[in-house]
Amino acid sequence: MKPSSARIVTETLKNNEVRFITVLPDGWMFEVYEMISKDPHFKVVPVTHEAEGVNICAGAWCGGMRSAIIMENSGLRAATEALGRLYCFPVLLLMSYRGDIGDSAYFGRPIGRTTEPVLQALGIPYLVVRKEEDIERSIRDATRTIDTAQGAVALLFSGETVG
Amino acid sequence: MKRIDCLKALASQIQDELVVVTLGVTKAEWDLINPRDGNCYLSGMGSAASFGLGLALALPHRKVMVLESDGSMLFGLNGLATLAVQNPKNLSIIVFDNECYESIGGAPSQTAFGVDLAAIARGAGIANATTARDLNQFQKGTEQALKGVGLSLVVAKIEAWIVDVPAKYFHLLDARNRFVRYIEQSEKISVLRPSKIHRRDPSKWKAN
Repeated sequence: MKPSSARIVTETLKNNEVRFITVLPDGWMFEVYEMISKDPHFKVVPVTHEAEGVNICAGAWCGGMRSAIIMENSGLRAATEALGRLYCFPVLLLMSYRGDIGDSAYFGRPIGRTTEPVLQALGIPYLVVRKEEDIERSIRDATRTIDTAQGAVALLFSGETVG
Repeated sequence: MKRIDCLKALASQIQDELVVVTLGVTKAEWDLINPRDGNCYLSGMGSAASFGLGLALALPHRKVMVLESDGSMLFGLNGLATLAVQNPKNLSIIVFDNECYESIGGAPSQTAFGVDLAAIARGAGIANATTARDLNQFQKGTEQALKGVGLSLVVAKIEAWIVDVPAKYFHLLDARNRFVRYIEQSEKISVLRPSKIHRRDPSKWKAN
Protein backbone atom coordinates (compact mmCIF):
# COMPACT_ATOMS: atom_id res chain seq x y z
CA MET A 1 0.00 0.00 0.00
CA LYS A 2 1.13 3.56 -0.60
CA PRO A 3 2.72 4.80 2.65
CA SER A 4 0.38 7.80 2.75
CA SER A 5 -2.64 5.50 2.35
CA ALA A 6 -1.32 3.07 4.97
CA ARG A 7 -0.96 6.00 7.38
CA ILE A 8 -4.57 7.03 6.81
CA VAL A 9 -5.75 3.43 7.33
CA THR A 10 -3.80 3.16 10.59
CA GLU A 11 -4.98 6.50 11.97
CA THR A 12 -8.58 5.92 10.96
CA LEU A 13 -8.67 2.49 12.61
CA LYS A 14 -7.40 4.15 15.78
CA ASN A 15 -9.97 6.95 15.61
CA ASN A 16 -12.73 4.36 15.23
CA GLU A 17 -11.59 2.37 18.27
CA VAL A 18 -10.43 -0.70 16.37
CA ARG A 19 -7.89 -2.14 18.78
CA PHE A 20 -7.52 -5.83 18.06
CA ILE A 21 -6.11 -6.92 14.70
CA THR A 22 -5.20 -10.35 13.37
CA VAL A 23 -2.91 -10.42 10.35
CA LEU A 24 -1.85 -12.83 7.68
CA PRO A 25 0.85 -10.90 5.83
CA ASP A 26 0.02 -9.67 2.34
CA GLY A 27 2.13 -7.73 -0.12
CA TRP A 28 -0.32 -4.89 -0.71
CA MET A 29 -1.32 -4.49 2.96
CA PHE A 30 2.20 -4.92 4.32
CA GLU A 31 2.75 -1.24 5.13
CA VAL A 32 -0.35 -1.21 7.34
CA TYR A 33 0.95 -4.32 9.13
CA GLU A 34 4.25 -2.54 9.80
CA MET A 35 2.57 0.60 11.11
CA ILE A 36 0.06 -1.09 13.43
CA SER A 37 2.80 -3.38 14.79
CA LYS A 38 4.79 -0.34 15.94
CA ASP A 39 1.76 1.36 17.48
CA PRO A 40 0.95 0.40 21.09
CA HIS A 41 -2.72 1.29 20.54
CA PHE A 42 -3.14 -2.01 18.69
CA LYS A 43 -3.00 -5.59 19.89
CA VAL A 44 -1.68 -7.35 16.78
CA VAL A 45 -1.89 -11.12 16.46
CA PRO A 46 -0.17 -12.74 13.46
CA VAL A 47 -2.08 -15.86 12.40
CA THR A 48 -1.47 -18.91 10.21
CA HIS A 49 -4.80 -19.07 8.38
CA GLU A 50 -7.55 -16.54 7.71
CA ALA A 51 -10.31 -18.69 9.27
CA GLU A 52 -8.24 -18.79 12.43
CA GLY A 53 -7.90 -15.00 12.26
CA VAL A 54 -11.69 -14.58 12.04
CA ASN A 55 -12.25 -16.99 14.96
CA ILE A 56 -9.75 -15.10 17.13
CA CYS A 57 -11.37 -11.76 16.22
CA ALA A 58 -14.81 -13.10 17.20
CA GLY A 59 -13.49 -14.04 20.64
CA ALA A 60 -11.79 -10.67 21.08
CA TRP A 61 -15.01 -8.89 20.12
CA CYS A 62 -16.88 -10.79 22.87
CA GLY A 63 -14.25 -9.44 25.23
CA GLY A 64 -15.14 -5.89 24.25
CA MET A 65 -12.46 -5.20 21.64
CA ARG A 66 -13.48 -3.98 18.22
CA SER A 67 -11.53 -6.22 15.90
CA ALA A 68 -10.28 -6.48 12.33
CA ILE A 69 -8.36 -8.92 10.16
CA ILE A 70 -5.82 -7.80 7.57
CA MET A 71 -5.29 -10.25 4.71
CA GLU A 72 -5.03 -10.79 0.98
CA ASN A 73 -8.36 -11.34 -0.74
CA SER A 74 -7.28 -14.94 -1.50
CA GLY A 75 -7.65 -15.43 2.25
CA LEU A 76 -11.33 -14.65 2.01
CA ARG A 77 -11.86 -18.09 0.47
CA ALA A 78 -9.91 -19.70 3.32
CA ALA A 79 -11.95 -17.75 5.87
CA THR A 80 -15.37 -18.65 4.50
CA GLU A 81 -16.12 -21.47 6.96
CA ALA A 82 -15.46 -19.22 9.97
CA LEU A 83 -17.33 -16.28 8.41
CA GLY A 84 -20.28 -18.47 7.51
CA ARG A 85 -20.55 -20.17 10.89
CA LEU A 86 -19.83 -17.13 13.07
CA TYR A 87 -22.01 -14.88 10.95
CA CYS A 88 -23.20 -12.81 13.91
CA PHE A 89 -19.82 -11.71 15.24
CA PRO A 90 -18.74 -8.22 14.10
CA VAL A 91 -15.35 -8.14 12.39
CA LEU A 92 -13.82 -5.75 9.91
CA LEU A 93 -12.19 -7.48 6.92
CA LEU A 94 -9.41 -5.33 5.47
CA MET A 95 -8.21 -6.89 2.26
CA SER A 96 -6.13 -6.13 -0.77
CA TYR A 97 -8.09 -6.57 -3.99
CA ARG A 98 -5.66 -8.61 -6.04
CA GLY A 99 -6.98 -9.17 -9.54
CA ASP A 100 -8.98 -5.96 -9.61
CA ILE A 101 -8.85 -4.09 -12.92
CA GLY A 102 -5.35 -2.63 -13.17
CA ASP A 103 -3.48 -5.28 -11.16
CA SER A 104 -0.36 -6.08 -13.22
CA ALA A 105 0.37 -9.41 -11.49
CA TYR A 106 -0.42 -12.53 -13.53
CA PHE A 107 -1.61 -14.39 -10.41
CA GLY A 108 -4.04 -11.68 -9.39
CA ARG A 109 -7.05 -12.43 -11.54
CA PRO A 110 -7.67 -16.01 -10.30
CA ILE A 111 -7.84 -14.49 -6.82
CA GLY A 112 -9.93 -11.49 -7.73
CA ARG A 113 -12.53 -13.23 -9.86
CA THR A 114 -14.12 -14.94 -6.86
CA THR A 115 -13.78 -12.12 -4.32
CA GLU A 116 -17.01 -10.18 -4.80
CA PRO A 117 -19.17 -13.27 -5.53
CA VAL A 118 -17.91 -14.90 -2.31
CA LEU A 119 -18.67 -11.76 -0.28
CA GLN A 120 -22.11 -11.62 -1.85
CA ALA A 121 -22.74 -15.32 -1.15
CA LEU A 122 -21.80 -14.79 2.50
CA GLY A 123 -24.06 -11.75 2.73
CA ILE A 124 -21.14 -9.55 3.76
CA PRO A 125 -21.51 -5.83 2.88
CA TYR A 126 -18.39 -4.42 1.22
CA LEU A 127 -16.84 -1.38 -0.39
CA VAL A 128 -14.02 -1.24 -2.96
CA VAL A 129 -11.66 1.57 -1.97
CA ARG A 130 -9.66 2.80 -4.96
CA LYS A 131 -9.03 6.43 -3.99
CA GLU A 132 -6.99 7.66 -1.08
CA GLU A 133 -9.55 10.34 -0.31
CA ASP A 134 -12.17 7.60 0.26
CA ILE A 135 -10.22 5.62 2.87
CA GLU A 136 -11.23 7.55 5.98
CA ARG A 137 -14.94 7.62 5.24
CA SER A 138 -14.98 3.96 4.14
CA ILE A 139 -13.36 2.75 7.36
CA ARG A 140 -15.68 4.90 9.47
CA ASP A 141 -18.75 3.62 7.65
CA ALA A 142 -17.61 -0.02 7.74
CA THR A 143 -16.96 0.23 11.47
CA ARG A 144 -20.45 1.60 12.02
CA THR A 145 -21.94 -1.19 9.97
CA ILE A 146 -20.21 -4.03 11.86
CA ASP A 147 -22.08 -2.72 14.92
CA THR A 148 -25.45 -2.20 13.27
CA ALA A 149 -25.32 -5.40 11.19
CA GLN A 150 -23.66 -7.42 13.99
CA GLY A 151 -21.53 -9.23 11.48
CA ALA A 152 -18.57 -8.91 9.14
CA VAL A 153 -18.05 -5.97 6.76
CA ALA A 154 -15.28 -5.92 4.13
CA LEU A 155 -13.12 -3.22 2.56
CA LEU A 156 -11.17 -4.09 -0.59
CA PHE A 157 -8.16 -1.87 -1.25
CA SER A 158 -7.07 -1.31 -4.82
CA GLY A 159 -6.33 1.43 -7.39
CA GLU A 160 -4.31 4.41 -6.23
CA THR A 161 -4.31 3.28 -2.57
CA VAL A 162 -1.93 0.43 -3.43
CA GLY A 163 0.35 2.29 -5.81
CA MET B 1 -13.69 -42.63 31.19
CA LYS B 2 -16.88 -40.97 29.97
CA ARG B 3 -17.19 -37.34 28.91
CA ILE B 4 -20.23 -36.82 31.13
CA ASP B 5 -18.26 -37.83 34.24
CA CYS B 6 -15.45 -35.45 33.28
CA LEU B 7 -17.97 -32.65 32.76
CA LYS B 8 -19.59 -33.34 36.16
CA ALA B 9 -16.18 -33.20 37.83
CA LEU B 10 -15.31 -29.99 36.00
CA ALA B 11 -18.65 -28.35 36.81
CA SER B 12 -17.94 -28.61 40.53
CA GLN B 13 -14.71 -26.62 39.98
CA ILE B 14 -16.13 -23.86 37.78
CA GLN B 15 -16.95 -20.46 39.32
CA ASP B 16 -16.80 -17.29 37.20
CA GLU B 17 -14.62 -18.69 34.41
CA LEU B 18 -15.62 -18.02 30.79
CA VAL B 19 -16.25 -21.40 29.21
CA VAL B 20 -16.11 -21.65 25.41
CA VAL B 21 -17.71 -24.86 24.16
CA THR B 22 -17.32 -26.57 20.80
CA LEU B 23 -20.21 -27.88 18.75
CA GLY B 24 -22.03 -31.21 18.97
CA VAL B 25 -22.66 -33.43 21.97
CA THR B 26 -19.98 -31.73 24.11
CA LYS B 27 -22.13 -28.61 24.02
CA ALA B 28 -25.36 -30.50 24.74
CA GLU B 29 -23.87 -32.45 27.66
CA TRP B 30 -22.13 -29.43 29.24
CA ASP B 31 -25.36 -27.44 28.98
CA LEU B 32 -27.19 -30.29 30.70
CA ILE B 33 -24.64 -30.46 33.53
CA ASN B 34 -23.83 -26.79 33.99
CA PRO B 35 -26.10 -24.32 32.19
CA ARG B 36 -24.88 -20.79 32.94
CA ASP B 37 -24.57 -17.40 31.28
CA GLY B 38 -20.77 -17.64 31.32
CA ASN B 39 -20.89 -20.45 28.72
CA CYS B 40 -20.27 -19.54 25.10
CA TYR B 41 -21.68 -22.16 22.73
CA LEU B 42 -20.11 -22.07 19.29
CA SER B 43 -21.21 -23.94 16.22
CA GLY B 44 -18.11 -24.15 14.07
CA MET B 45 -15.56 -26.89 13.49
CA GLY B 46 -12.08 -25.79 14.56
CA SER B 47 -13.19 -22.49 16.03
CA ALA B 48 -13.33 -22.98 19.82
CA ALA B 49 -9.62 -22.83 20.72
CA SER B 50 -8.92 -19.82 18.47
CA PHE B 51 -12.07 -18.07 19.69
CA GLY B 52 -10.90 -18.73 23.26
CA LEU B 53 -7.54 -17.20 22.41
CA GLY B 54 -9.14 -13.96 21.23
CA LEU B 55 -11.31 -13.84 24.34
CA ALA B 56 -8.35 -14.50 26.64
CA LEU B 57 -6.26 -11.78 24.98
CA ALA B 58 -9.11 -9.25 25.20
CA LEU B 59 -9.80 -10.04 28.88
CA PRO B 60 -6.41 -10.97 30.35
CA HIS B 61 -7.73 -10.78 33.94
CA ARG B 62 -10.45 -13.42 33.28
CA LYS B 63 -9.86 -17.15 33.17
CA VAL B 64 -11.00 -18.70 29.90
CA MET B 65 -11.58 -22.42 29.55
CA VAL B 66 -12.20 -24.08 26.18
CA LEU B 67 -13.99 -27.40 25.86
CA GLU B 68 -12.86 -28.82 22.53
CA SER B 69 -13.17 -32.19 20.78
CA ASP B 70 -10.65 -34.23 18.78
CA GLY B 71 -12.47 -33.76 15.45
CA SER B 72 -12.79 -30.02 15.86
CA MET B 73 -9.23 -29.64 17.18
CA LEU B 74 -7.88 -31.54 14.17
CA PHE B 75 -9.90 -29.25 11.88
CA GLY B 76 -8.20 -26.17 13.33
CA LEU B 77 -4.83 -27.70 14.23
CA ASN B 78 -2.86 -24.73 12.93
CA GLY B 79 -4.44 -22.64 15.70
CA LEU B 80 -2.19 -24.43 18.21
CA ALA B 81 0.83 -22.67 16.70
CA THR B 82 -0.65 -19.22 17.31
CA LEU B 83 -1.84 -20.24 20.80
CA ALA B 84 1.70 -21.24 21.71
CA VAL B 85 3.22 -18.07 20.27
CA GLN B 86 0.71 -15.80 22.03
CA ASN B 87 0.96 -17.91 25.21
CA PRO B 88 -1.89 -16.30 27.20
CA LYS B 89 -1.57 -17.11 30.90
CA ASN B 90 -5.34 -17.17 31.41
CA LEU B 91 -6.32 -19.84 28.88
CA SER B 92 -6.83 -23.57 29.36
CA ILE B 93 -8.03 -26.04 26.79
CA ILE B 94 -9.58 -29.43 27.38
CA VAL B 95 -9.82 -31.69 24.35
CA PHE B 96 -12.29 -34.54 24.74
CA ASP B 97 -10.75 -37.19 22.54
CA ASN B 98 -13.10 -40.08 21.79
CA GLU B 99 -11.13 -40.95 18.65
CA CYS B 100 -14.20 -40.59 16.48
CA TYR B 101 -16.86 -38.31 15.01
CA GLU B 102 -19.40 -39.40 17.57
CA SER B 103 -22.14 -36.88 16.82
CA ILE B 104 -22.54 -38.27 13.31
CA GLY B 105 -22.35 -41.96 14.17
CA GLY B 106 -18.84 -42.75 15.36
CA ALA B 107 -16.62 -42.91 12.26
CA PRO B 108 -12.98 -42.90 13.45
CA SER B 109 -10.95 -39.69 13.55
CA GLN B 110 -7.18 -39.65 12.97
CA THR B 111 -6.53 -39.95 16.71
CA ALA B 112 -7.88 -43.52 16.48
CA PHE B 113 -4.73 -44.32 14.48
CA GLY B 114 -2.23 -42.97 16.98
CA VAL B 115 -2.22 -39.23 16.29
CA ASP B 116 -1.31 -37.69 19.65
CA LEU B 117 -2.87 -34.25 20.18
CA ALA B 118 -0.93 -33.53 23.39
CA ALA B 119 2.37 -34.29 21.60
CA ILE B 120 1.34 -32.02 18.71
CA ALA B 121 0.51 -29.25 21.21
CA ARG B 122 3.89 -29.69 22.92
CA GLY B 123 5.57 -29.63 19.52
CA ALA B 124 3.82 -26.34 18.81
CA GLY B 125 5.27 -24.96 22.03
CA ILE B 126 2.53 -25.49 24.62
CA ALA B 127 4.81 -26.99 27.28
CA ASN B 128 1.97 -27.81 29.67
CA ALA B 129 0.10 -30.25 27.41
CA THR B 130 -0.82 -33.58 28.99
CA THR B 131 -3.06 -36.59 28.42
CA ALA B 132 -5.55 -37.78 31.05
CA ARG B 133 -6.59 -41.42 30.83
CA ASP B 134 -8.72 -41.68 33.95
CA LEU B 135 -10.93 -39.39 36.02
CA ASN B 136 -8.26 -38.91 38.66
CA GLN B 137 -5.75 -37.64 36.09
CA PHE B 138 -8.45 -35.49 34.49
CA GLN B 139 -9.36 -33.82 37.79
CA LYS B 140 -5.70 -33.17 38.59
CA GLY B 141 -5.22 -31.59 35.15
CA THR B 142 -8.27 -29.34 35.41
CA GLU B 143 -7.49 -28.33 39.00
CA GLN B 144 -4.04 -27.24 37.86
CA ALA B 145 -5.51 -25.48 34.85
CA LEU B 146 -8.03 -23.54 36.93
CA LYS B 147 -5.42 -22.53 39.48
CA GLY B 148 -3.89 -20.50 36.68
CA VAL B 149 -0.54 -22.07 35.98
CA GLY B 150 -0.51 -20.50 32.51
CA LEU B 151 -1.53 -21.79 29.11
CA SER B 152 -2.39 -25.46 29.38
CA LEU B 153 -3.98 -28.21 27.35
CA VAL B 154 -5.41 -31.47 28.66
CA VAL B 155 -6.35 -34.22 26.23
CA ALA B 156 -9.00 -36.33 27.96
CA LYS B 157 -9.10 -39.80 26.44
CA ILE B 158 -12.76 -40.78 26.66
CA GLU B 159 -14.89 -43.61 25.39
CA ALA B 160 -17.50 -42.89 22.75
CA TRP B 161 -20.65 -42.60 24.83
CA ILE B 162 -23.42 -40.02 24.63
CA VAL B 163 -25.82 -39.23 27.44
CA ASP B 164 -29.51 -39.23 26.56
CA VAL B 165 -29.83 -35.43 26.43
CA PRO B 166 -33.37 -34.02 26.16
CA ALA B 167 -34.04 -32.14 22.91
CA LYS B 168 -33.11 -28.48 23.21
CA TYR B 169 -33.13 -25.73 20.63
CA PHE B 170 -29.80 -23.94 20.27
CA HIS B 171 -29.45 -20.79 18.20
CA LEU B 172 -26.06 -19.16 17.78
CA LEU B 173 -27.42 -15.63 18.19
CA ASP B 174 -29.29 -16.58 21.38
CA ALA B 175 -26.18 -18.17 22.80
CA ARG B 176 -24.02 -15.23 21.75
CA ASN B 177 -26.31 -12.62 23.30
CA ARG B 178 -26.59 -14.46 26.57
CA PHE B 179 -22.80 -14.77 26.81
CA VAL B 180 -22.07 -11.21 25.70
CA ARG B 181 -24.56 -9.73 28.18
CA TYR B 182 -22.92 -11.76 30.92
CA ILE B 183 -19.58 -10.21 29.95
CA GLU B 184 -21.09 -6.73 29.73
CA GLN B 185 -22.54 -7.07 33.24
CA SER B 186 -19.59 -8.75 34.89
CA GLU B 187 -16.98 -6.51 33.22
CA LYS B 188 -19.10 -3.34 33.15
CA ILE B 189 -18.26 -2.73 29.48
CA SER B 190 -20.28 -2.30 26.31
CA VAL B 191 -19.72 -5.06 23.78
CA LEU B 192 -22.81 -4.61 21.62
CA ARG B 193 -22.22 -0.83 21.23
CA PRO B 194 -25.81 0.20 20.50
CA SER B 195 -26.17 3.47 18.62
CA LYS B 196 -28.07 6.31 20.23
CA ILE B 197 -31.34 7.46 18.68
CA HIS B 198 -31.06 11.17 17.91
CA ARG B 199 -33.85 13.10 19.50
CA ARG B 200 -35.57 15.59 17.21
CA ASP B 201 -37.90 18.26 18.47
CA PRO B 202 -41.41 17.48 17.14
CA SER B 203 -42.85 20.87 18.21
CA LYS B 204 -42.30 22.44 14.76
CA TRP B 205 -45.13 20.29 13.41
CA LYS B 206 -47.63 21.81 15.80
CA ALA B 207 -50.06 24.35 14.41
CA ASN B 208 -49.45 27.88 15.61
